[in-house]
Order: sequence, then structure tokens, then C-alpha cells
Amino acid sequence: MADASMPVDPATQAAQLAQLFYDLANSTRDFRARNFANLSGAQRQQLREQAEALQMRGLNFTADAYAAIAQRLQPYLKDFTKAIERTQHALVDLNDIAKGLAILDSAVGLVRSVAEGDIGSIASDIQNLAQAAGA
Amino acid sequence: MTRKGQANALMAVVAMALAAAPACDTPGSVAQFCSSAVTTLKTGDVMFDDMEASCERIVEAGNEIGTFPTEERKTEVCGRIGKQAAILKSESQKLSDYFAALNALASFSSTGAQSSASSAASGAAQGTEMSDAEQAALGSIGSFLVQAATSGYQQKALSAEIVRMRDGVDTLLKGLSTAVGVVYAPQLRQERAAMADRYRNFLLEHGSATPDTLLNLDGRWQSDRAAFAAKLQAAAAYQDALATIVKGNDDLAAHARTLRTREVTGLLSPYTTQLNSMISRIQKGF
Repeated sequence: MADASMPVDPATQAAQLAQLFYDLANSTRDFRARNFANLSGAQRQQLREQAEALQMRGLNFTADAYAAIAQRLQPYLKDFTKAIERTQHALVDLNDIAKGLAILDSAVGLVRSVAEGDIGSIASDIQNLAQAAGA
Repeated sequence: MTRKGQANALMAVVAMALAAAPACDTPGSVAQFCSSAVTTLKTGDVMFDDMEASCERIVEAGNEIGTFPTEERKTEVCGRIGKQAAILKSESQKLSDYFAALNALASFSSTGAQSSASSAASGAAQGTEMSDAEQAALGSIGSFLVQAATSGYQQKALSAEIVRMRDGVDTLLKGLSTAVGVVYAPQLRQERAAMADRYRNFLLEHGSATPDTLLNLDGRWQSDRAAFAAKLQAAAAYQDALATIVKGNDDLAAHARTLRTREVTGLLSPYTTQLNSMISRIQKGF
């Protein structure tokens, strides 16, 4: 049995109501079919119309269930728009060749130090390179 | 230091640098997962498109066989379902766009930038007294630095976004799953019941149906029944696929900042494989 203190989800509730009315519509049709021979023309028509009305009520609750879900998701869409923008900006940054080329001065310094045998400078040059690379 | 010794030292620095370069498989695994998520979401669009149509078919099933209505009938409640289905489809599209953006970021290759940096580094060395080997080494270092910078930035941006959007992704996926599993699937079952009643009603109204008519109707019903079964299976597969994306996304977000490359690949590969098999199951229904 459902806990009365638990919040009711409008979408689930609407879907349950839709199912209830679908079941009623189908039971009415089954009753009509089982008793077809014993029913008058007017009774057959009446049961048919009642089944369709019950089914229509079920479809209305189905529409309500879709609406409740769609509405519940709407507030998140802005966050996704922002996330997509951030991701696209990150991609632009990655494509910015200057970001990579700006660190070449440090690389040239390192190679010069090695080529000149300046052991003392190599360690600090590597450190500079690492910083420039953002590693 | 001799010339040969200098060259060896330079090569050692290059070797150390290349050994320390971050591997690229992590973004590759994320890209494959995101790509499968995009395909799954797009494959599900057909169900949102069918929501209004299914409603109209349910209403149309109320017409007796042989009445042959010709007017274009639009039922108010079906229009309402169609409007909401369009909103749900656009929400699915937004989620798909997000995974596509992540895929683009994860698929970024630094190859072009590395090549440019290598050429520029070699160019910067021209005019100096560096040997060819030293200039080549400088090119390699420039290339490595670009790769290191882009790879690190790429992984940081990816993991930050995956962690930040985790709850939103889960909420949207679960909402879409509810729409299909809790609302659309029962609607399809009702359409099946309404169709079955239409055939049954025809036989009741025409009690003297010949065996040929009975066989014809039975054949049509079996065909309809198989189509409903395929749609319901597709809806179930779609739900399974969305649940798989939720699990994969949760696992990825939980470990995005700590897992090593091979671990991320191992983490995501089963989800990606599952998704790819489920996509064909969804497609079979429509």
C-alpha cells in the first residue's frame, strides 16, 4: 500500500488513471461481446458509446501524463544549453593553434640549453615548458 | 659536452617528454559512448512521432469495418498528445545535442596542431647553429607540448562537464524512459485492444461470416498483432538503452577525475557495446 506521506508523481498518477479508464473501456467491450445475442440494438449501441467515452477519458489522462513529464523536464533545458555552449567554447580553445605555439619560446630555450651543454638551465627550462603546457 | 653527447642528451629529453605524454584513449572511449547515446536518442524519435498517430488510430478503431470514412479527422485529445510528444522529442533532441557536443570535444585530435607546432618549432630554430637532429628534436618537443596542452585541457573540460551535468542527464533520461514505458506502451496496448475489438465487433455484427472471411480477418489480425509486439519490444529496448546510458553516465561521472585511461576504456566499453545492440532492437519495431 502506498505511503500517504510520499509525494505523488503527477505523471505516474495520470498514467494510472489512464490505465484505469482503458481497463473499464475494455471490460465494457468484453461485456458487450459476451452478451451480444441477449442485448437489444439500443443496448449494444449504448455500451459501445460508453466504452468509447471511457477510452476517450483514458486518452485524456494519457495526454496529461505526457504533459506532466514534459513539464518536469523543462527546467533542465537551460542547463543543457549552457553546457553545450561551454563544450563548444572548449573545442574552440583546443583549436586555437596560438595556444600551442605560444609555448615554443620555452621549447627553443630548452633546446638551446641542451645544445650548449648548460646543464644548470635544463631543469628550470623543463619546468617552464611544463607550466607553459599547462601540465 | 661533445656534440654527440649534446645530441644524446637532447634525445633523452625528447624521450622523457614523449613518455610523459598523456594517452588519448580516454576521450576516445567517451566519444564512442556519447556517439552511441546520440544514436539511441535519435532512434527513439520515431516513438514520439507515433504517440499522436497511435491516438488517432485508437479513435479510428471505433469506426466499423466497411464504413470507409474519407474526411481528415483530427481529434482534440490526440492533438494534445501530439503537442506534448513534440515537446518530449525536443527535450530528447537537447540531450542528444549535449552528447554530440561532448562527442565533438572528446573526438578532438591534436594531430593538426601538433604538426603546425612542429613546423613552427623547426622554423624557430633556423638561423641558429643547431644541427638537423637538434632542429628535429625541437620540432618533436613543440609537437609534444601542443599534445600535452590540448590533451590535458580536453580531459579537464570533459570531466568537469560530465560531473556537472550528471543529475540533469539522469533526470532527462529517466523522464523520457517514463514517457515511453509508463505512458506510450500502455497506449499501444490500448490501441491493440481497440483493434482487436474492431475485428471482433465485425464478426458479431455479421454472424454469418464465411470461413474465407474468418481466415482473412484472422490473417490481418495476426499481422497487426505482430506489429504491436514489435513496437512494444522496441519501446522496452529503448527503455533498456536509456537505463544503460544512465548507468554509464553515472559510472563515468563518479570516476571521471580519478580513473586511468585503460580503466575508463574498460568502464565504458560494456555500456557502448550494449547500446549498439539495443539500437537495432529499437529500429526493428518501426
